[in-house]
Amino acid sequence: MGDKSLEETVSAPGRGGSKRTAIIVVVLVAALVAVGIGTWFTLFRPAETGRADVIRLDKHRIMVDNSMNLYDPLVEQFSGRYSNAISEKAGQSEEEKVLSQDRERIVRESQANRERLENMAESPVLKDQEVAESFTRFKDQYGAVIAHNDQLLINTTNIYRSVGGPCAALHSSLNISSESYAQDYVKSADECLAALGAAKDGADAETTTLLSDVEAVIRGQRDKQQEVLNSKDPLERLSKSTLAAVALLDINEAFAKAQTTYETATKDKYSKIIESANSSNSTFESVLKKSLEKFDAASGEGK
Amino acid sequence: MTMEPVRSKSRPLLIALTVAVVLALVASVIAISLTTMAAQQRRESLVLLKDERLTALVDARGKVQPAVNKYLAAYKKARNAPASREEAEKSSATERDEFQQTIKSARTALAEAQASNTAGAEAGTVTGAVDLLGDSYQAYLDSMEGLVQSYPQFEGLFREDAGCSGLFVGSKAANLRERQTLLGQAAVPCREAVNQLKQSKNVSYVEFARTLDNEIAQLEVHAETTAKSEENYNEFVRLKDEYVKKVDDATARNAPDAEYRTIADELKALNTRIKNNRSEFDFAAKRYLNGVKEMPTLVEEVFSKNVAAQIKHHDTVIPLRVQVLKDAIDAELAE
Repeated sequence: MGDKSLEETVSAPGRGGSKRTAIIVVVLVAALVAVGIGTWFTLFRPAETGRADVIRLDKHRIMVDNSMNLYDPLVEQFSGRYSNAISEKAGQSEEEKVLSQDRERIVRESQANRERLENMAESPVLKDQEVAESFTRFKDQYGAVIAHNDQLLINTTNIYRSVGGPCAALHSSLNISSESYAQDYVKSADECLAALGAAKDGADAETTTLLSDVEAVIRGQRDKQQEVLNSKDPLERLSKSTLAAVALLDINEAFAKAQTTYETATKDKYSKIIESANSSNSTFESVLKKSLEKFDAASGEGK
Repeated sequence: MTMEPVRSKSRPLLIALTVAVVLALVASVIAISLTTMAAQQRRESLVLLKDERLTALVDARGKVQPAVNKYLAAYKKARNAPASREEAEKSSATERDEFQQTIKSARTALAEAQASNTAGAEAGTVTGAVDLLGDSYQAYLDSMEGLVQSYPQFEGLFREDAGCSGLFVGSKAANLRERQTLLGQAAVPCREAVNQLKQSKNVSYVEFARTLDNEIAQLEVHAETTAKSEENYNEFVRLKDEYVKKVDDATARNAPDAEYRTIADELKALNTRIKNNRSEFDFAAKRYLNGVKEMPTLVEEVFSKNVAAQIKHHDTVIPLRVQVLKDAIDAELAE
């Protein structure tokens, strides 16, 4: 023990120096390792995440594109259920149920799609100008598809509430040869007209046209029946009611015309939206593919 | 000796420095390995979800439809044997249990997929896709469960159980009032059964029950109108006979013109009443007949049209949602 401590004190300067060097070496090595890890993280990782980001963005693109196919079946289910609830007079609570289940499902779908698009907008790959441009177009076009379907929900609800509701009874459940026909007609027509007016709230241009067309037809018929009611002389009454009855014969044609106009307009509008969306999708897809190829080529050169 | 102070001063400093560096290194290594481990775990969990749980989910759904069909066939066969509802339920109990088991497995598969650890930095897309898929999957299972559960009710509507076949009065009635009474009697138990069916978990049954309920109400209204018209008509025949007598009497008495005119006016009014009565009768009778004629189609379309459309809907939506989820996972796993 004593010897050792003596030895230590004697050789202390030299030993202390070598220890210090050892420690400095260790610290240096540690620092180097740290720098090494840091460099690896900063130099290699970005190259890797860059490629992954492209793949990720492409997968998100496929997701959004696939999700669009969900609208048709979802909207179809909603409109079928809602139309049944309205036409069979299932009552307020049943209507609310359809709205809160089947319509909400579409609302959530749209919300998810918008979030996906927002998510994509944050991708680092968008620093590339070409990718950014094709993405902006993709986002706009798919945003239009989503907006179209959101509007479709409002239109469907409004049309069923009015045309499918109070207006449907007008030409199906009233007895034209009944004595009180004119009176019944005017009463039902007023309910129908009020519903049509309310349905225009929030409707798009095409739907407003449809509703206005239907409104014009119903108003014309209603006024003719009102004339029947106003005439006091039985003969005048008879001639007015004959005129009104003859006018009714044209009503189906008028409705059919309004419906065809509406269907053609909405179909045209939607197919244009879909067409633009599809073209923006394929452009975006090929830009992403090119970007991926660039990465692959770069990593090939590295080897 | 001169080194002593230096050594005692620099040594602790160096030790402290070394310890600090080592600690920092250890800490960063731990931090890095922890994040890598968490990331690794998450990756594994995502891979598990994509490769196993989603496959299990799809497989479990694939077994539902055959199980439904098997049960429906077994129950129908038993009832046609013939057997009562209770007997048929008993003899199709195996198929029903099998169906319940299938649904249970599907629900378990769904719960497992939903329990997957999808939480993470950019997990919004995966979690969102899982939720949307879960919602549609759940809706499918509920509707199939409702289809099976309420089938005995639906199937029994036009059998003795509910007696809706009593709505088809046919030639059993001697006159229209009797027809209306018989219809009203049949409508009571039938409507009760229809209202029960409205509580079903399957929308196709509910919509059908709603339409049928309205149809029955319409039939009742039309039956009442036609019965009343027939009674009116009998009354008109009696009135007409009276007027014939009145005219004969007036002629015999050589009555003044004014009396003839009064009779003529009254006859005109009667004619109008007859005409209106006739029009009301025609309107109601036509609708009554149509309602009765279309009822079998209404029943048939529940399965041929509505249930088929419902199944098609789910067959479109669920695979799409599965695909979207897979793409969301692929995006997460991309490297």
